[in-house]
Amino acid sequence: MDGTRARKRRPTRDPIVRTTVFLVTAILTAATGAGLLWGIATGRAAPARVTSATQPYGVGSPASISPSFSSNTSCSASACHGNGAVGRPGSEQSTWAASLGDKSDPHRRAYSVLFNAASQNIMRLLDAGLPAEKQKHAHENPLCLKCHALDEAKLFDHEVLSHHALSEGVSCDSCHGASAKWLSAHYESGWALLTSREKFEQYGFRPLKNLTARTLACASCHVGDADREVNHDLIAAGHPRLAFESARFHFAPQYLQHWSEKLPAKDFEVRAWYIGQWVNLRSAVALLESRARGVEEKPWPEFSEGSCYACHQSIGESKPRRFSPGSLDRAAGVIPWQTWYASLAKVLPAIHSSIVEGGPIPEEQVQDLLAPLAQLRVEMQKTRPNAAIVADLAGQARLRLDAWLSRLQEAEDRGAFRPTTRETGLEMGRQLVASALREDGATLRDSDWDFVAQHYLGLAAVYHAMGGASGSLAGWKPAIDRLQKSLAFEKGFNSPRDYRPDDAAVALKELQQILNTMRASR
Amino acid sequence: MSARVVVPVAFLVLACLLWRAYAEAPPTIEPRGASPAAAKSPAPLGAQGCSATGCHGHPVANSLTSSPEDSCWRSASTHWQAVDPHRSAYAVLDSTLAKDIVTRLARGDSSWRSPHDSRCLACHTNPALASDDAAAAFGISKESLTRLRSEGVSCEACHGNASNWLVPHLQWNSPVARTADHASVGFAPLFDLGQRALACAGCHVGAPAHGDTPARDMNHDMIASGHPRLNFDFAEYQRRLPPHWLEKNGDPQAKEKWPSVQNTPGVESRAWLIGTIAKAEAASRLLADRAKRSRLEIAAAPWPEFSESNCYACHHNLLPESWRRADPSYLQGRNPGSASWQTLWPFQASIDLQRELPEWKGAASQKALNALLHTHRADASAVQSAATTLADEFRSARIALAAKNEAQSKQILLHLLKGDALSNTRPLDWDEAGQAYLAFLSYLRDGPDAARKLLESKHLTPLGESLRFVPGSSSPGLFEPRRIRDRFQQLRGELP
Repeated sequence: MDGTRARKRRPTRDPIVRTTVFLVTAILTAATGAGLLWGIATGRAAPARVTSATQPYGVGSPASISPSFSSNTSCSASACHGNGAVGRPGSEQSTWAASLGDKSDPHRRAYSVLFNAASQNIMRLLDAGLPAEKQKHAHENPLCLKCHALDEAKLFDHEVLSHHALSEGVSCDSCHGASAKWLSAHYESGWALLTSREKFEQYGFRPLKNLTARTLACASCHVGDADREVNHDLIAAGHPRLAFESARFHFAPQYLQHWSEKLPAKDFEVRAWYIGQWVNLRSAVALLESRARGVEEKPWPEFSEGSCYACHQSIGESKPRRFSPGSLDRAAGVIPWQTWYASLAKVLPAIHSSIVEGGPIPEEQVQDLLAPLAQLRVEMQKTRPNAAIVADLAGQARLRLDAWLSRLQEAEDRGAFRPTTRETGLEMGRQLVASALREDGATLRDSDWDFVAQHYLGLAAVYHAMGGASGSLAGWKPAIDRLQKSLAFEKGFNSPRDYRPDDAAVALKELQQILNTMRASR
Repeated sequence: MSARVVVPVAFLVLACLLWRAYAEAPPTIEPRGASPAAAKSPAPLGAQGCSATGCHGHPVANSLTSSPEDSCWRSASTHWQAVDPHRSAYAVLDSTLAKDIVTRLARGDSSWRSPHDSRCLACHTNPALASDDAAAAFGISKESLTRLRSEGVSCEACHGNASNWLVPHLQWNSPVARTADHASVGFAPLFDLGQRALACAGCHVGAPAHGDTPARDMNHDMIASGHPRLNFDFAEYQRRLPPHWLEKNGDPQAKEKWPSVQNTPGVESRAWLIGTIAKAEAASRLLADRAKRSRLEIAAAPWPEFSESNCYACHHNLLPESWRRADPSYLQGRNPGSASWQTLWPFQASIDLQRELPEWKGAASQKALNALLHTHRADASAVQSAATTLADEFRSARIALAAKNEAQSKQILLHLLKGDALSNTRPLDWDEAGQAYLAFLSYLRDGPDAARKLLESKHLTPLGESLRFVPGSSSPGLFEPRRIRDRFQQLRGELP
């Protein structure tokens, strides 16, 4: 697709035409909404408007868009997003570039950190086996630049950018999409009439208001994708582990946001967590697929697919994990697969109806969605995971997750998400605790730190969304605090040094009892 | 005492004395198990075949209270019964730990049912009895087999099944013919230190299947299920094992020069040197076998097999500032995220031992194997062939070193301790430091008592303490290689 066609679609400024278009759109939308509601009311699966969409918008870059780079100075004009009033609308770029007290946007420093001592040491270790002339600096290495600056290959069709352009770090185009095509269109009034999918597919603009699209953009670096990854070599060389969780990242205390959420905070936090779980799972599966397909060039098995602390722990007789024979479903000696991104896969469908209108997902649909994932776990937890089988299963899982995500995305766009209430919060809490504990209500289903931490983060998202210690779920506080304490790393460590899963089990059991009383007193 | 007993006993004593008078450098015996299996496997007779009062079961075992002497063979069985840990090898299979291990193993592989599985028995009794078909193979009842197995790792586990040599060995009288005599009837030549170390390594490292003996393979699944890691060091294990034998030393004057030949200078160094090479040989053979079995259609072995790696390369807590990342030379050219293969100090791929150990010609083979293993996808078939080549190199070195006497061995070890394998340029990890520590220990044990005690208390004991695990832990916790390296340098400074 080229610029001519894009120009044809540029919205008109004629008020009559605009009004007509608005009315027609409004009628169509109302009719569709009514249809949807009727579908829901009659218990049928919602007749999706874009049933053909097997992929959510926001995945990768649209194949048809290969624009050239335009610097973020285009965004930072004072009449556009660079008005200089940090934190105010119209000053998005100014806010992104600013520091306010101890707050700032870390994406701004993504490139400059490539020059620090830690980055230099990472490269020293990564290239230790290479002759001196082949050793690279981090700021010259595409492996690093793909996520620490604008991705030339992905966004700009391999156009080589200047160091000046790269030095902006993860700037506007990185998340909002290569802007050359939509730059002059997006402030035209008709822009608003385009659907999000049109904006993405025809203009390469990522509609980040949609949390699915937004989290997909985040995950392409913070989880990884087909050509970006932080693998075990990079981590062993000193790069921090990627353990993305959307709600936690959004609410990072020192993150200076250059936008404000339209949603009430309580709804936003729970949705960010919930959608983030699905998106991250999808991204992790897609990453595994690309790793398994690329085994000729890439490590296999890739250790970063496994639970870090399954191996990275001190071992011995006094460590409780090894000496509870009935505590795990998997074989001893294998690395548990993807305990970070896939630990909640089974409980998410059970939580769905607390977050999205339309009742529970039909059981056969859940089965269809999760079956390849379960098979994938079995294969990955064999002592010899077969790359070809893994690639195939991961491909199947990704296709199903993509189809599911596009439905989730539509639901979000049509406003079919439920507000978070005390009741939905209690229900989510009950589901999460039931997923973490076995039927005996006392032992963990999996004592892996990641598994427990993911359950904690879900519970914490709900608890904080409802106002934390002063909200309607304040009764959770002692159990939530205890659970957090059981997971905290000892000072000076990057791993759970003397992790005691039994402490986590006690905290979850306590929460279960609290949930029972809260339900009873309702 | 009846003549039936006295005559053979006198014969053997005489034989021993004669041998002591005539024997020269330790003979080379090659190799048990490598030749095609005998047409009919020798049958097991059990410990009771040895433990008659007139044979090896004399009720008075002086070796329990003092150094073994010439007549200690008479009470070897009594001694073994009283204090040898191998005796309880079978009984531990009934422990709670053993049952827990199998419960955990069964979760990944439903073929695991009980600790009396042949994969456990392969080392927890006489390996020749471990196979499920053993009763049929030896024409004995299931009950008899269980009784024989229940003796644990008894006489025949190490010396070989006795049916072919029980009678002949009573009649041997020439120490010169010792090697030939043993070989003629399949009596394990444990008097050869290299062969003895290989026999120990068969279980304490592992070994491929041969003849009726199943593979002895204690792998990562078993360790993760609770089995202790195998940390074999021949010299140290031998020091800890109360000996029921008298060392058949090559030096004819040894007996006169030293109160007990056990204390001949160089004995410990020689044991360490030969034992270390034998361990490396066994580890390479096991790796080749694992690579081979990983390609089987049915019951394939895991690949990569994690227990081939240095345990603490993965099993450590993570620190923001780790010594592992401080110095790229630690990696020795491998990718930072890969796990290094077996630590077989001083045989490191990056160190050329030609100067210190001319008998070692396998540096290139070792480099080739490491290059394969330190890529992220070690091709099992290539590894099998490279590991076999390396095992053969270790075997040649072992044979060459077994021909050295104690004084020569001590000199070789001294060169190793002073050489590049412990230079100041690269941080040592726990496995390397532990093995170098044991090498020093062996070397110092061969020195004069006063000097030894001084060096041990001044340097070696603190070094050992800093390598010790905190109680309840099976890993080094916060290991500080810089301090360890400094201590080694101080110790090296005191060497002649």
